[in-house]
Amino acid sequence: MNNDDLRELMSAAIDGDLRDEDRARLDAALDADASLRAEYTELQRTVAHLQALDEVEPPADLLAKVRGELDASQAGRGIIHWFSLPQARLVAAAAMLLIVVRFGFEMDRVDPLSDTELGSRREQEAARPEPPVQAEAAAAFDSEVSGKNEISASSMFAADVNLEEEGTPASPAPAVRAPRQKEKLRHFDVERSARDALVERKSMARAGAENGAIWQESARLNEMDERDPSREGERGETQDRLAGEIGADENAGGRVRFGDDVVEDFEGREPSDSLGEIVAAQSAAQSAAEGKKVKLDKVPEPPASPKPVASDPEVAVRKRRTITALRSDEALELRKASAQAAVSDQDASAMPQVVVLEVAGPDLGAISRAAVGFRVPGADNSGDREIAAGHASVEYAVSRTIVIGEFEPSKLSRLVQALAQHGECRLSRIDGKPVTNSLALQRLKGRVTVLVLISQRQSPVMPNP
Amino acid sequence: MSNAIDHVRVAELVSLFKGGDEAAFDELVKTFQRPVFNLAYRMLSSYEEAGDATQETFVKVYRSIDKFRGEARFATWLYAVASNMCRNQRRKLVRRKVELQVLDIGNGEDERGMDPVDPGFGPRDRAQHGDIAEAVNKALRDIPDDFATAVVMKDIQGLSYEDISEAMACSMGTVKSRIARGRGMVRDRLRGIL
Repeated sequence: MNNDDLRELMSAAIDGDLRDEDRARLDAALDADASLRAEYTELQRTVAHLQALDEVEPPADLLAKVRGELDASQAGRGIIHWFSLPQARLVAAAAMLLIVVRFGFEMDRVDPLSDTELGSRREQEAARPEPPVQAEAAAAFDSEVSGKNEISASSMFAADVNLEEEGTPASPAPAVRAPRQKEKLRHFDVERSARDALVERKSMARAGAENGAIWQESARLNEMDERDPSREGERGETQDRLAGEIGADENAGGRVRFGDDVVEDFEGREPSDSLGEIVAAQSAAQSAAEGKKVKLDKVPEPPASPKPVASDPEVAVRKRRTITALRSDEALELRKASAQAAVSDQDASAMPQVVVLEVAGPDLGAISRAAVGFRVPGADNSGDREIAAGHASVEYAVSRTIVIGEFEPSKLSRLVQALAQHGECRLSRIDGKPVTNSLALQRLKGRVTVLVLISQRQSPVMPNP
Repeated sequence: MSNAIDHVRVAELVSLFKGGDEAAFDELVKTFQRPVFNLAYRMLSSYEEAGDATQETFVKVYRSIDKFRGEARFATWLYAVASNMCRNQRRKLVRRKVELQVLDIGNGEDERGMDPVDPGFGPRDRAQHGDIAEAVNKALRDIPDDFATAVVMKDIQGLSYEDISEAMACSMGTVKSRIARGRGMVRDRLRGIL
């Protein structure tokens, strides 16, 4: 009989599950070997300790949590189930069809204004006085847009243009279609360039998001991002909103255009004021990027969304509305601010990362002394705190925070070991984020600032039954 | 522990739940949450992890009750689900611990590794017990899954060899062997304090 067999016999004997002949074999072996008897005694004690472990009370909200998880997953399943139904597929197909038809309708819709009317409107527009600040910029913009339109018309719809040039009828009324098509393409192209400009501006604003006033720009532009204007069915309304939301800025650095018209009927927004705000905002952003202190209260609030008011019935008639590109000088300023913000971000990444260690043990003083022993000479200890009962979890009567200071990450494990001599120690947070994966330690670069959170345990965590 | 459970009533509840009675499921949870949680707690040595494993066990039972054909007792089937859940959880915890140790070796600062940072056994858990209970818990956590499961089911849950055999889907002989070897492993780890 080998040792494994004997151990199984010992285990079975403890459970009272031994046949008589096995009992006799075990007794004989125990009588013959003192070390075996000692082992048997230890095994009996081990089982006694195992069986003496207290039952632990489960969390009181266990059933609620189970129910919560089931409810959450059933809600998700309900949606998936709905989409698996044949009726749902029909509805989805119909919706897709509707979108396609609507898109096609928008593209092919004939502008209600005839060529003559358009010409007349252009004359009225030309006769309308523009604010002196914008006149020059507007002229430059118009010439820029016209150029783009010609390129767009010839490149994107080359087939149609060629057919028309050759005199082959591309539609039942080619003579009418050509100018309308061009008008339509012009709208399309201007919208597209405006959206590209918005995207560019958003990305620039995001890059400088942590720098003073640009944060405000970013927030507003992110908000716009959520309302995707590319959805054809909502384009008109969305562009209304876009025009309204960035109306002040565009009035200042560029302009907002509705179709072919410069729109000047935003409520209460004087172009000069808007320009002042933009310049102030850019200046603040620039200062922030250069590391100067910016008084945020001096940074202008984003303008309340002004709504376009149809003072003229013609405004209501025009369905196509476009937003001009940013003026190049404004874009340049923002680019400069963004570039400097990026440099500033790099500097920020060189700052020491804040590491929080949690320690719990019975001897608050011993843990504190161990922690303070690692304090970097000259480190600022003004962050040391004594926290009264009730901190974080009820099981801790007293808590204390000790600022260790800044040192190399490689010293961290020695600190952990030292603290672990007096209690349980765990890495809790890095830069405010809970540590769930040890790989986070690998990302520690440069120096770290360490904060130790000490908890004294005085009572059992869980009530005994 | 399992002796306190009225298995006839449990069978009735299971039948009701299979028929769509949600309240019957709630009652099953209330009936078994304590033994399932304790099984998880002894296998995982962490109150939070045990809570999560227990929760996931009941969610799984809810979703797969149709697979329970009543050939074994519901309690046995439930323990099988729970122990599988805990074994998966243990593997995750071991992986985390290994990562920490590897990391510490990489730092070259301390040969003892990063055991104190082990997330599976925090201050909250140790606070409940004295040194021996704490050492027993740690020993159970450290031994291989199959042995830990068998020992916990036998010595802490008080299940019979037959129930353990069904829950672990192995023969009675294997169960006895695992219990014997598991107890031996725990004893080896407690030697200094026995």
